[in-house]
Amino acid sequence: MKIRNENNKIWLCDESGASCMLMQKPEIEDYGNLSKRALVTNYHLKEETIWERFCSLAFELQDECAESGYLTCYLLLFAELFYVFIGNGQMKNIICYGMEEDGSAAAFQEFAAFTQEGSSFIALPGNSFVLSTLLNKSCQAAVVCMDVCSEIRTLCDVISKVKKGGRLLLYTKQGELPAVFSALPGLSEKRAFGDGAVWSVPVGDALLAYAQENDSESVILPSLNRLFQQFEELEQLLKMTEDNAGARPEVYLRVVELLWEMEEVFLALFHVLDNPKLPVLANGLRESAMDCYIGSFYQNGMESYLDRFRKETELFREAMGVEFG
Amino acid sequence: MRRCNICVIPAYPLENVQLIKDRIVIPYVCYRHFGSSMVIVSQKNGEYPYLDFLQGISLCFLPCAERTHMQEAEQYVERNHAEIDMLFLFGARLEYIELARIYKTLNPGGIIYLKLDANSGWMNALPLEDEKYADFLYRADIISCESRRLQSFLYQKWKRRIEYVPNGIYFPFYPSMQTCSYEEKENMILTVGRIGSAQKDSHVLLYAFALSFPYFKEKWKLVMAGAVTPEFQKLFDAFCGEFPEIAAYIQLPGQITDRNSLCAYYRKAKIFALTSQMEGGLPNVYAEAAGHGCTVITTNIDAAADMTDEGRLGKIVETFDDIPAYAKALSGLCADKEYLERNFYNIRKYIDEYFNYDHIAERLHILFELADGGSDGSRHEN
Repeated sequence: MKIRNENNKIWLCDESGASCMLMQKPEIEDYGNLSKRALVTNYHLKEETIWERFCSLAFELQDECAESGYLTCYLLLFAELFYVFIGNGQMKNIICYGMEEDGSAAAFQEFAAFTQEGSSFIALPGNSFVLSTLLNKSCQAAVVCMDVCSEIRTLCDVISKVKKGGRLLLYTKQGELPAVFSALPGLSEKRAFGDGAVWSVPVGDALLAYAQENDSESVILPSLNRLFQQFEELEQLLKMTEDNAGARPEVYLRVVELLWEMEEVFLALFHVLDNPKLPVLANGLRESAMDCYIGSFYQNGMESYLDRFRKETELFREAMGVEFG
Repeated sequence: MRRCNICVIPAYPLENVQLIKDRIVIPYVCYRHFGSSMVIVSQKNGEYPYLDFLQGISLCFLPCAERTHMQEAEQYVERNHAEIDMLFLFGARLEYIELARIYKTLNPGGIIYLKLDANSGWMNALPLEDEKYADFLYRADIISCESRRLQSFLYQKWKRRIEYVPNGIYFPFYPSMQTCSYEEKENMILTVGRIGSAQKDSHVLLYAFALSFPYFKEKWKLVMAGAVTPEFQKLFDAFCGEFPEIAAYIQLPGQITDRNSLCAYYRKAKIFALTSQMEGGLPNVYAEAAGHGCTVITTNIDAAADMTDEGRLGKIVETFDDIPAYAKALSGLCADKEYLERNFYNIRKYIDEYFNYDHIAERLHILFELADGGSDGSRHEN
């Protein structure tokens, strides 16, 4: 992948000779007219136009990421972000979720600082935990690597960080988005070259409403309520087994059913759990409850099964106490 | 609790010997407990004399002429999906992707049970970024693995339920196991498997035995049963030349296909030794040996903690290919006569309670009901 600049038009060219125009110098006579405030002080001092800086950074990006499978995506994103950065004279926060540590972020960061002092481009690792540390509606745009972000919920968490009227940019080197994202509103604006593809989605009411319905907050709160109800019932059943070592088989079976359901909730909440072993601890307790249920019919091994059930109960209770206590 | 029609489709044409391994025995015991029918679907691959052990099941032979085994199996599922309540698949294999898709598309209410038969190295290398493969795992209603360590790993990696279903024992296949006594045991260390294969690290056992030999207070012998690779045979010949007095206590009886003959070794052995770098889940021979009261010494494979109940019922050597460490553990075990005798009873009890396929099938019955939409709370049928 190479770029070339011909008469203020930047072209993307691949090894097979195919090419497409990445960006043409915008017909804006005076960038200062875009805002009542002065744009960039060092723009004048360096006697370098925004377009010139954009072009030089695009070539830097090409050199820095020559070996990266994402070079096409980065260049397409760079072109899309051009207008986001110069859109008005306000400082802008742009976050990028899941960008590879291949040096690409530097070009975006430099362009952000060049177009407006105080603007930032922040590359976040592809780990949904980092999103919980950011304020909602704190960014003008968000860029998401869709090869890293595999869950609707994570994407919606990213969207919730963007202000209304902002922009969401999705990119992948796989050419297409996984089917699971097809319901996302506003996906029609796509630019692609080779396997690199970028979607530019305006963050409007429809997208924000979609994000609100599917983000972690909307999933976690009802799930937690459900979990606490289930745990309350489970505790009552566990007490019954403690009070009466030979509890009726149906009690153990109900414990099995409850834990089966609780595991589902734990797995749904997996990325916000402090203890990632909680689901497997629930499974261990469920398994020992199954043993007690079966053992109560066979009259075989019940002593061992009860002993293990008590140990697993203790482990699970302790873990629940640390997690939610 | 309802009974179900079980269909087993191996990823490759079935071999006779597999009829008495976990891939067939587990669904067979499930069939005995809660099945109304069981069919194994496969292209023919030789004769199947072991079918005599499995009463009531049928073998459906797929045509061999034009298409591959799996293509024919997919056609079979297309035609018979409605008669399959539980589709049993063995191994997280790419070959199953299309088969699972067809089955769940045509019979969304059907249950796929996928037994992984895997170790953490293999599971870590699975192509989860492949959408079709991830979809295959998603379609499986019940997934089980053979060690708790792997179960914990997969819970975090796949973020879905993984059941622990160890490779165990079906007692009716081992009538002599019930009558086994500690009195008939000898000072014998036994290993069973393909001797000298790369992952078995058989040389560790051979040389650990040699290192332990001077420290034995009583005479012990080592039996390494199983087909021997030419490389190991060469190594053993050199060993015999170098240590003839030790070699006299070592036997390589070769491959033992007759189960009664193999059981005779288990009955005599006090210690069962494993030196593997890795195993595909829990070695099938483990439950056979432990069921005969052999104390287990093993390297720290995925299932080591399960095999020894966290070290209570055997010894775990933490490092691989570490002959001095293995020798130290082995000689310590051989010296502890009281532990070996006590453990004869304890490990048999442990096997009976947790590795008994009758018990495991009952667990799977409950899981089948839960995956099928919840158990009805009615009395469990034995």
